[in-house]
Amino acid sequence: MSHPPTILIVGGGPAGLSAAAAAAEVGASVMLCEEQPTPGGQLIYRAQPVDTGSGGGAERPEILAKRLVEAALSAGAVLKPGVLVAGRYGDGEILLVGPGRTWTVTPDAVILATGSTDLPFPFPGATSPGVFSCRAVKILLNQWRVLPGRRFAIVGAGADAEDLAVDILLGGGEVVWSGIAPPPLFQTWGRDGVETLSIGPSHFEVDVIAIAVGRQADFALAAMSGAKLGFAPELGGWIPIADDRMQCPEQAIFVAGDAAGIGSVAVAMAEGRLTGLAAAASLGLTGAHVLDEAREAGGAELVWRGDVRRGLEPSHVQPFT
Amino acid sequence: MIGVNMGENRQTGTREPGVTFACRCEEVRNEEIAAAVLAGSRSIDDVKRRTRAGMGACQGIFCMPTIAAIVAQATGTPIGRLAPMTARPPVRPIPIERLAEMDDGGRETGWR
Amino acid sequence: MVEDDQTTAHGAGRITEHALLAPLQTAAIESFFFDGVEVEGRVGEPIAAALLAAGQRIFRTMPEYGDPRGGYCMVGRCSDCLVVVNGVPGVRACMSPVTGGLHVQTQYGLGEFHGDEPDWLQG
Repeated sequence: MSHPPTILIVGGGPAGLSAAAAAAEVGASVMLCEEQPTPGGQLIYRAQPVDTGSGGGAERPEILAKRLVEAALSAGAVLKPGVLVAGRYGDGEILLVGPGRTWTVTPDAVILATGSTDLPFPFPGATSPGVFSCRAVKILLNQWRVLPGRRFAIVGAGADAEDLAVDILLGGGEVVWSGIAPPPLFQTWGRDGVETLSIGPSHFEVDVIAIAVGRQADFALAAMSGAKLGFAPELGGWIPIADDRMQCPEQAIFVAGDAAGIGSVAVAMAEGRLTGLAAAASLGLTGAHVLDEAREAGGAELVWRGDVRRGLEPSHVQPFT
Repeated sequence: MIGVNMGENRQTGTREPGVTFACRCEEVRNEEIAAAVLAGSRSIDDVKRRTRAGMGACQGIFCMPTIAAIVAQATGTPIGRLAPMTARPPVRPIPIERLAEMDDGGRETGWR
Repeated sequence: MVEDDQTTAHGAGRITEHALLAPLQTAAIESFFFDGVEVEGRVGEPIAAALLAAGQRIFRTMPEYGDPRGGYCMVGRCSDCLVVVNGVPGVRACMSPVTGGLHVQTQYGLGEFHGDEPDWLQG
């Protein structure tokens, strides 16, 4: 009995969902596993409109998430929210842990769209209750409509920090301080949680401190799969080194989105689409011209990311995979 | 509750700077990372073995960049030349109960 | 806009109106217990969200130094939000949904297991 080639997609954010739709459209048997109970990745906890890069203006994140989910489903992909891809073992066997079921699969190809994690910012008192990562504050404000306090300080000075500042204001909070300061000049004090923030000689009364100093790729599964890693500061740090077909050499592992280097939602979608097609092409389901079209349609950020990857020295391959 | 991270010593009532943890899961202080390098660690993995930093629930997600920065600075190695922390399954803590439930797999759908 | 009847020492509460986001689908309000005290939660939201909205910032203490923790990542990775639920420690409050009548407690250190043993462990 023959069956279509199987592609496992790890992560149901903009990249993973786009990859699922693209691969399923050309005939792959696609299963997408998303650790969280609701697919959508960062779209689930963003409030402000998101540029999708299609030239049509910005879309509301909740609408975009629904659209991407529907596209994947109607293309025939199977979506499994609440299922964690827990590890990859020697012969390509992959452990899945879901509510009520634990099992393994050995797909013909794997796309890692595992996204990113927030970078830490250690300082005296950083583990106090009331100190959260940037995306944690967004999850509380935007996904659950909870204010963990009224007066916020934001550490960081990039797009994430700016976006968060607006989210806080939209949620009814106040941004008391935001910027960058080097620890240990940056300290927090309080009895049961954050109360005072000291920056050098200045003191601020705050309830919440949000750490928004950037994101880094979640590359654990890629490393386990034997992908070579390289250090690219402009893409958030260590990333799996993928070739022009978004494939990590010598492995049937593909990467897309933040997991392949920190970037925008628009490029995550474009890269996801390219990677879905590339994985399908590697299994004979489509051809190189389709990949070229997808790459051209992906825009300048997609091209730039490929340039950065091509210039990377593979610094490391994990032993004993 | 005893606390070292709050800036106020709950036992003595005095105000002192809280501790800076490099690894929040295993409560490993920045000083311990530096001490590991002084004791001979030259890699992130070796620091992990000496201090337990990176062995906790997050498996290094929230501490590896800090460890990398300290090792890079203390050894004079460019951070990009350090090998990142070795990653092993499972990526998150899983109750053994879940593994005991493991079934035969998705053969019925063509997924081997 | 924030509900004003919820006064906590540090201004926590629930957001009732939002200029951009569509209202949350109305979820039933259920009470659960935290350290014996009744807490209001929306069914399906994570325990962590309900506790933080109610002004509860400390979820656990740490085994080595005893420091209080109260959630950090909210995506199930960091272990700062571990609580004891119905006698079982090590439960991620940020990944576990509120259901009515849950008994949630502060986890001190690694906690102690007072739940039901799974079938396969018995003999």
